[in-house]
Amino acid sequence: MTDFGLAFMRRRPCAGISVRQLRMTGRGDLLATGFSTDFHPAKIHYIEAPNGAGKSSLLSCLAGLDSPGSGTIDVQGAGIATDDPAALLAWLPPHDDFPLPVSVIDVVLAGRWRFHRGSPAASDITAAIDCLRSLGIAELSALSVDSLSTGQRRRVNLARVFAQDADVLLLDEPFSGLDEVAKRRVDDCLNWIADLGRTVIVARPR
Amino acid sequence: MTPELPRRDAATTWILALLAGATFTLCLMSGVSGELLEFNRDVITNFRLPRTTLALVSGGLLGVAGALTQNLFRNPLASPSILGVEAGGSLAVTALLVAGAQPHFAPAGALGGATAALLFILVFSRKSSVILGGLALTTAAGSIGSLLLSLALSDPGRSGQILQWLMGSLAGRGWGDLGRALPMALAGLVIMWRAGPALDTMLLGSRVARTVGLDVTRMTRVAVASVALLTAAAITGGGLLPFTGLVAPHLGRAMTGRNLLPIKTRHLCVRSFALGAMLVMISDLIARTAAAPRELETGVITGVIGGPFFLWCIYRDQLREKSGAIHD
Amino acid sequence: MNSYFNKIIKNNKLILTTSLALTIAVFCVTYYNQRINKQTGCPTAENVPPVRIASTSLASDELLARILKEAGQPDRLVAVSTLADNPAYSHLAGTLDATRARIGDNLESIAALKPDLVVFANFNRPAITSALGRMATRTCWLENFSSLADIHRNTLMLGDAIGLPGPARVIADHFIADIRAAEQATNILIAQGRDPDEAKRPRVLSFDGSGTVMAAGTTFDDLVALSGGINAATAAGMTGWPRITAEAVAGMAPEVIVLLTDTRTKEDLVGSLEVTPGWRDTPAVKNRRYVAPRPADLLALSPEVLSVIPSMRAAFLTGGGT
Repeated sequence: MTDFGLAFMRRRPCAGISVRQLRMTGRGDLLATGFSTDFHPAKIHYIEAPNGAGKSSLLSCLAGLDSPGSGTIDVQGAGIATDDPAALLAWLPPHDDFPLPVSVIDVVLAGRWRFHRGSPAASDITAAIDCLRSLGIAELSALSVDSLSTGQRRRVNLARVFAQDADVLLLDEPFSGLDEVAKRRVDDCLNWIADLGRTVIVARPR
Repeated sequence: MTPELPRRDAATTWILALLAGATFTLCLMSGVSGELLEFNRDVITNFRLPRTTLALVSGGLLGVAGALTQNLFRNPLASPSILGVEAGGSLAVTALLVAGAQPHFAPAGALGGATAALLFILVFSRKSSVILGGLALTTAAGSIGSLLLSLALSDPGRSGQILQWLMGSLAGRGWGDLGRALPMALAGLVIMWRAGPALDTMLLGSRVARTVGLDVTRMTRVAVASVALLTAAAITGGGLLPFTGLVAPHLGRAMTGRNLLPIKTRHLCVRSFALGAMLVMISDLIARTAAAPRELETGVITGVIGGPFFLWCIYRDQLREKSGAIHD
Repeated sequence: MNSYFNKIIKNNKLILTTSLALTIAVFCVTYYNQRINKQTGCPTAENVPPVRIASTSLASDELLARILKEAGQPDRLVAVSTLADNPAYSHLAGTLDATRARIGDNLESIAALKPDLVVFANFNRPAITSALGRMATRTCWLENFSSLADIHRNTLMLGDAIGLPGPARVIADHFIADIRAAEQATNILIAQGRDPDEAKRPRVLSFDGSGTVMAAGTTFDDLVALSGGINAATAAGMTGWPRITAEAVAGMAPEVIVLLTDTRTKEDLVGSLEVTPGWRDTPAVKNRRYVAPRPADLLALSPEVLSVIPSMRAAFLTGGGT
């Protein structure tokens, strides 16, 4: 398999997630009657459901942004420090939302916040550019996000998620707005990352 | 090998700082008591130096507060007054003056009211949205202030003093006013500087920021504290100066060349300081020379300049949006 | 020391509390400074009397102008208040040439004149007092304006402060003499009255259109007494310029109303009285007993104030007034 140049990601044992009886009222059929499944490391999991079914709510629950009505989410650990949720989970939101101009490189560097805490080192910058390159948008690094197309913005956000180097990647509709070439590229990257041991969870519309 | 980050626009920031300095010198040399650029030492040191310095500091602080507010709420139309700090300060000053205190206690009132508003907002932001708290504070303070003002209507001298403070006058302000504002100003600036990178991350949205490991609740409160400190210092030193906190950061953000990166929060704050300072210094100059021997209120002039200018900024932004951006 | 400072910088809460504490400290220091440096009183001119005098209120404008005119040195007054040009309030309107500076708000022009003495009133705006006070060589503060005795005292104080005690005393003595004469004339008129059992002195209230009246501790109060009336607001125990309710007015039942026509015309005020509840049922309105002296005279804080007495006396005591 081609090397995608994500050199900063090492192959290592990663955590998985177990969900039992997760329920949220009013958020769609998926979470209406208790959702249970296991997400295993080194695999890509696809959650395919029509719009409005509750995919985004499920992912945001897993990301720790929303509280479920009932149910449990457990981390099946491989010695991971669970007190740093950013090392555990990285989240791609369903929409890209940048009301104020930010530069592409800053967006991706933000993904590495837990490493640099505001003062990015050379390694962070390298990692960020590697993520952009792996998605084929390295030449955009000096631009502002509000001058990009929808598809480009999606990939920038995705690059940020990669840069975070978390165990579990929660990707909410990562292919939306992308053309066929880009979709294939993203797909290949995800396979590569899963191969390195990460747990990849993708939500996409049916 | 360290990869090169694309160049950030530091040149504009430096130019703005220099312009602010030039404006300061110009204002020191202009006034009613002589021709433009006439050099009269007593007048300068006793009147213009403290007053122009205060204008520079107040305007700068409000500019920075505006930059922080806009980045915190991710809204280029936000201004520091949404936190309710100015409303709290105004209410306290009105209450003090209506109760019969001597007008030179007004700054103490402003400080007390602003601090009370600051603490209220900090406590409120634990439970609920900061914007709601600020809105509640502004509305309540406004109504109570009007009530108190109506009680003072029969005393034209007193109500005149209150109105003058509300309109933002730098007349007769001296070094004491500057000294009173300085500790909180410095505190606000230090906190701002340290919170800069975190605020850049929060530009991605509070949910995303949380997932990358930023303590969003805490950083929000830190930013709010900084804005409140800066605003409190500004109104203690200079009174209410509307639109400064709105126009300065808006302009500062717009002044970036097409091929350069959008600026980070720290740089935006420096630029907003310079722009806010210039706005208030120029307004102050107009206030004390345009209608001599009468003096206009500086706050009124910032509104008169800032309001239409802001409308023009919005109009120009909309034009650019229609023609420039690539959309799918 | 350095590490302590660094510790403060690192912790946001510490920064907040330190700055608040420092601010309060600065406030205390500056206010304390203001207290102990606050100049009060009006010191007598020492060896060299002040040459260039600036006056910041109409009260001292008129008094100073009068004293200096008496002494033949009118040009020593280099700056007056802006109110001095307003004929509704000032007796100097039209007599001062435009080259003399006006102390409006803009203080730089005043500073450029370098006055030796600035005369302040305690009701001046602090913007004026703090700025001018910083650069004036000598200052004189007039603090009391609540009675005719205060006018007398202010005249003498100003005379001392500018080095012209003689002319000031002349004016002050005239003032006293005029007051005595007025008193006598009033007493005669009262004694001439018909029935000794009837209450001769009518109850009087001032009206300016806003419901504010002048009570005890105002020059108006003294004037009413000198003109043979009883200030109903004083009799009801009020002081200063209180705002009274319609019921209170009805209770006071004034028989003559003194109209203050500085902001509204006499017709306007009378019309307002005739429709305002409380006021419209008073004996004064029913019998249409009004008197409208010149507001510049009525509100004056200088000897000109006595010129209202003849017309008020006529209105109070001989049943006059329209």
